Amino acid sequence: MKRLLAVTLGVLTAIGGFVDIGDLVASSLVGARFGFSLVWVLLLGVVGICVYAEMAGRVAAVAGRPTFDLVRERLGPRAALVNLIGSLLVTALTLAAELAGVALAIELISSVTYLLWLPAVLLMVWLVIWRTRFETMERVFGLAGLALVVFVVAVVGLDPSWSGMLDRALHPEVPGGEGVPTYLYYGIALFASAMTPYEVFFFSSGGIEERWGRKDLAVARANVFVGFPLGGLLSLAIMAAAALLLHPAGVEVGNLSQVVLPVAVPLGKAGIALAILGMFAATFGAALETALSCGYTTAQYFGWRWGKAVAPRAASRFHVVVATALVAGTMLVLTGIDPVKVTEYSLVFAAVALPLTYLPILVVANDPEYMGRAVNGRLANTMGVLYLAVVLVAATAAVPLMIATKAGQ
Amino acid sequence: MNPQEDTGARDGGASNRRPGRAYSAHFHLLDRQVVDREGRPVCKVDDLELAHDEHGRPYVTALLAGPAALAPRLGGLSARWLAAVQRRMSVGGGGGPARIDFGRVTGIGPVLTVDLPEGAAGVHALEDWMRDEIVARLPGAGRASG
Repeated sequence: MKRLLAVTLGVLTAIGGFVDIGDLVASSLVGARFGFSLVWVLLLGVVGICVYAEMAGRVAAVAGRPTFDLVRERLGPRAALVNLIGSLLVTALTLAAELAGVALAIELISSVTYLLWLPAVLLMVWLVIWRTRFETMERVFGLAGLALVVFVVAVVGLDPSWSGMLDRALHPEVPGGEGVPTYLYYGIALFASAMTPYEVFFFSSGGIEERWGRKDLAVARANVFVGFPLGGLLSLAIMAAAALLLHPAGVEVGNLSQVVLPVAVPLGKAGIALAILGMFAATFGAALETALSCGYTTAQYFGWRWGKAVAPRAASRFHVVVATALVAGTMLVLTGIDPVKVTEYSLVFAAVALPLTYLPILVVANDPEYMGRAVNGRLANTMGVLYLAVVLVAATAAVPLMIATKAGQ
Repeated sequence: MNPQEDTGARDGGASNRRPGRAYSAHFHLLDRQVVDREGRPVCKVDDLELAHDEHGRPYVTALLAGPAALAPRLGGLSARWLAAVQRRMSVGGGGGPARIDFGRVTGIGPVLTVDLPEGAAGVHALEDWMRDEIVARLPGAGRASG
């Protein structure tokens, strides 16, 4: 049991990357529109985030440095500031969407509009950050988010033709009626959300909050190799459920209530209840992850004291940044903006932040002055360089594709 | 550059440097995290104060920290903004960057360890103001959540 609980940081981090509000809707939308033809991108993203989260976790455990420390040290103050601004925009916009997502999950149960729930959600998220122990937080929301496993059960319950699914996933083709640029746009969006920078910020800072040392390298690795594939599996199940039921029916997924539809067919009310619980926990967890990440990155850029292990009054600037991000996010959602659109547009800023985040991690993970004997092996370096190239291509192509396809319309 | 004993390496972390090997100001000092004896973050090395010895060779006399030290290194619009914010937020005269004498540096590794007198750690005007005016007024601000 203790072993199981030790990997909840990885699980919570992955939930923020793979099944946050934007991805819940996007995975479902991609499944409904493109069937199984984008599954390979998801797998590409899972491997990519594993490669870099493993490096970031190892640097945190061995050298005791969180990711944004490395960004500032290796890129200098100017490029790091560009990264900070880009990352903060992605993270804060995602945070806004997650707050709306929590409120939308409550709306699904209560039928009271999500806008009325927002202030309560803001208060709840802030209270958890202010008062809850880091470990308690990651365990409660990491494990409750696993209620989304109901989508895996639903896919199995639908009794699909497994060989047919595998065949369509292995031989992807652009479905009729969809343009190639649209296909590529959704592919990049899926990949960028799997490798979104706040995952490594949160993961490495979380490792330091848990006081990882060199002896915890195995724990760090277990977190990576259990958490992220699990997040990917949940995302895949949501996509598959939509591909099996909504794709043939021609349903266009636009909101959260449609995401739960495929669960209702094989599992009924109990399935819906679990799916909504999972969505609540996953969006809440993602809100915590993004809110804390805003504080972590800013504090680590400027060298302030940060984290939940010190009393708030000893890390007041960190807590002010977190609270400001929460209030700003709530106000943005209260304008009535579509929260799913917000996460789509945050992709533009991710394009700036992704390469500037992963390059310093790769450089420091190779530096024996930080890492001693725990420097990257050949496999980590090969994968690291390959993925840096993929990230660069995706980052360069993201904005033109977004404009060309009018954000995937 | 002042050669310093590498005592700051974390337990089993960074490999010890060979004695006498030079440190690069750019690579080992600038933009590193500064921590106090207990490992609590103090600031970043935002800039270095240099002096010249009798042969005209430069050596580091102090670590400089805070927006006033960082702004000139950023250049462009961001530098002007940061400097403007810093001017408006600094209390009293001076307004120059915070300065940590290089003799207080006890270790150079992934972080710079400094030996600060008790009570002087991390005192920045902005931190003080935010603590006194905002954070300390909220219930539970004095206890760590862990």
